[in-house]
Amino acid sequence: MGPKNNLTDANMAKPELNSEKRSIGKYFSQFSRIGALLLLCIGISLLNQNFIKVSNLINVLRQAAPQIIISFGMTIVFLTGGIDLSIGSVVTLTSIISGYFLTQTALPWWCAILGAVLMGAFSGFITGQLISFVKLPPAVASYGMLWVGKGIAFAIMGASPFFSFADEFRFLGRGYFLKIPMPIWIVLAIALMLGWFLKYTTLGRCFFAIGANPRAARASGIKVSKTLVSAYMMSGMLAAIGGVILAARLNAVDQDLGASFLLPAIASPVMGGTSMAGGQGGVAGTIIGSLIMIVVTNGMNLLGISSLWQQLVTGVVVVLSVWLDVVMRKRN
Amino acid sequence: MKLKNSKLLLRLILEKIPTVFWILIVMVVYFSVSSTNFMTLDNAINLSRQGAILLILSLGVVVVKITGGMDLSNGAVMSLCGMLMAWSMVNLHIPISLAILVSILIGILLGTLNGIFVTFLGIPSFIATLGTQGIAVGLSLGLNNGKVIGGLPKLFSEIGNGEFLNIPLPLWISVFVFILTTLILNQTPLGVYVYALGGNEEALKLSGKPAWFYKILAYSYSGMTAGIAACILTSRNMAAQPTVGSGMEFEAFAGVVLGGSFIAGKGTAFGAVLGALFILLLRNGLNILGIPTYLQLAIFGTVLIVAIVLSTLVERRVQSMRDEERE
Repeated sequence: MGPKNNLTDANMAKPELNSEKRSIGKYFSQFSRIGALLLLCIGISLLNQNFIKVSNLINVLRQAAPQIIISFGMTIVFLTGGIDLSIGSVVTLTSIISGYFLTQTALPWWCAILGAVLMGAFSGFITGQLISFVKLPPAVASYGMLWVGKGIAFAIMGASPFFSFADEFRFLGRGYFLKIPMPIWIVLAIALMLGWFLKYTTLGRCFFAIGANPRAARASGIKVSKTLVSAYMMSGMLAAIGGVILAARLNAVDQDLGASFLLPAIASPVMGGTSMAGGQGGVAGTIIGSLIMIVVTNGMNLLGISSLWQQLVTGVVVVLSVWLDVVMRKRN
Repeated sequence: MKLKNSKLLLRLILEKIPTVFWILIVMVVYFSVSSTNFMTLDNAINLSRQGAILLILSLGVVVVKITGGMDLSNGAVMSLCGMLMAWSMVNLHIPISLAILVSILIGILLGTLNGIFVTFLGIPSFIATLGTQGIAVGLSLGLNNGKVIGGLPKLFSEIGNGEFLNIPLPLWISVFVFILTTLILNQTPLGVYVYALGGNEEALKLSGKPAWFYKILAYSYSGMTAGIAACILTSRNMAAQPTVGSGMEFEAFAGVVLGGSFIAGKGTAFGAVLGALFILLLRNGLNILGIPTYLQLAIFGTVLIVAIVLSTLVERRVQSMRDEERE
C-alpha cells in the first residue's frame, strides 16, 4: 500500500507545481474571463434593457444549467487529453430513455433518472473501451458512438415523441427551492462535488496526470486504460444528468434534442481555460465559459437575430476559442 | 518453408485487399439470397444514381484522411453549395454552367477555410471542421429562412437524371472524380506530399517543402468534391434543401475508414470507393428488406462500429505478422 501511494503522490505534485508557477497569470486569466462575461452582459443590456431584468437573468441561468453540466463532462475528457464527440447524442439518447420510462412503463419517476444515468455510463464505457483497448483515436471512437447513440434513440422512440411527464420529475427542471430554480441547485451541487473530486481524489488527480503526460502517468503506475474508461463514463453520466434536466424542463423529448449541445460543450471548457491538450483546467472556468456561450445566445434572441443564424455564430465562437487556446499554449 | 509461404500469402491478402471487401461480398450474398429485388439491373442503376454523391464525397474525404485529418464539414458544405447554387439560379438568373462553377468554387472556398483553420490557427482538424460545419449550416439555413429553394430551370435536371451511352451521368462524374483522385494520389508529386503529410509531417517540413500549402490543398480538394456532389444532389431533387447533407459527412468518413484509412498516411481512392459501396449496399439492402427507417440508423451505426473494430484488429494482425517475418 505504502509505495503505491507514494507513487501517486509524486505524480500528483507535478500539475500542482505547474499551476503554482503561473498562479498570478492564472488568476489574471480567470479574472479576464469573468471580465469578458461582465462586458458582454453590459453590452447586451445597453442594447436591450430586458436582459438585465431579474426574470430574464434567472431564465438565462435555468437555460444554462443543462449546458453547464454537459460541459463538465467534456471538461473531464479534455483534462485527460481526449475528446467526446458523442456527448450530444448521449443527451438525446438518455433523455429519450427517461421519457420512455416515464410514459411507457409504470415504474416510479426516479427509475427514469436511474435508467438515463446508467445508459450514459454504459455509452461512455463503450467509448472508453474503444479508445483504450481497441486503440481508436478519441475523435473517431466517439464520433462513431455519436451515430450509434442517435440510432438507438431513434429505435427506442419509434415514430412519435414522448411528452407530459410526472410532476415529481418535472420539478427537477421547473421547480423552485428557496425561490431559486432547481436546475441551478443541481448545477451548484455537481460543481462542488466535481471540484472536490478533481482536486482531492486519486482518480481526479490521475485525470490531470494522464492529460499532462500519458507516458509518465503509466510509468508511475497509473492504470491508464481504466482511468480513461472512467473519464468517459463520467462524461456520459454527466451528459445523462443534463439530458434529464432538459427533459424535465421541456416536458417532452424528441430526436433532435441533444445535437445542438456538442459545439457549445466543446467551446465552454476551452473558453473557461481547460486546455484541449489535457492536464490543465477545472470546473469553475467551465461555468464561466458556458455562461458566456448562453449569454451570447440569449443576447441574440433579445436582439431579434433569427435562430437560424445562431449555428453560424456558435461555429465561429468554437473556432475562435480553440484558436485562443492554441495561442495561449504556445506562449506558455 | 511451405508454412512460411502460406503465411506470407495470407498477410499479402489481408494487407492488399481491405477487409471491407470481404464484408462486402458476404453482404451482397446475404442480401441477394434474402431478397430477389437486390440483384437486379434496375436496383443497380438506381443505386449508382444515389450512390454517386457519397462516392464523390468519400474521394475528397480520403485525401484529408491520408494527411491525418478528419473532414466533418462536407455534408453541411454540400448543403450550402446547393443552396447558393439554386439561389443564384433563381434570383440572379445565371446560366447553369455558371451555377455549377459557383457551387464548386464555394466548396473550394470553405475547404480552404478548413485548411487555414488547421494549418495557420493550429486547430485540431475535427474541431475546425465542426466549426465550419456550424458556419455552413447557419449560412444555408439563414439564406432562405430555412426554406427549400425550388423552381430551377428544366435543363438542370439532366445532371442528376441524364444518361450518356446508357449509363447515368452521375456515375460518369464519379468515375471521373475517381480517376482524378487516383492520378493525383499516385502519379503526381502532390500525391507523394499528401502521403508524406500523414506519414511524417516533420520530415516533409525539414526537406524544405511548404507542408502547410499541401495541407490546405487537401482540404480544398475535399471542399471541391462537396461542391461537385452538391450539383448532382440539387439536380436530382430539383430543389435545394438547407439540411439535405446533414449526416452525409459521417457516411463518407465511415466509408473511408472502412476502406483502409485507419491511421494517417494510409488509404487509397480505391479503398474509399469500396467503403462507400459498403455503406450504400448496407443502406439499400436494409431498405429492400423492409426495415423501418428508425431501426436502420441503429443497425447502421452498430454494424459500422463492429466493422471498424474488425478492420482495426485485422490491421494489427497484419502488423504483427510483418514483425514476425522480419525476425
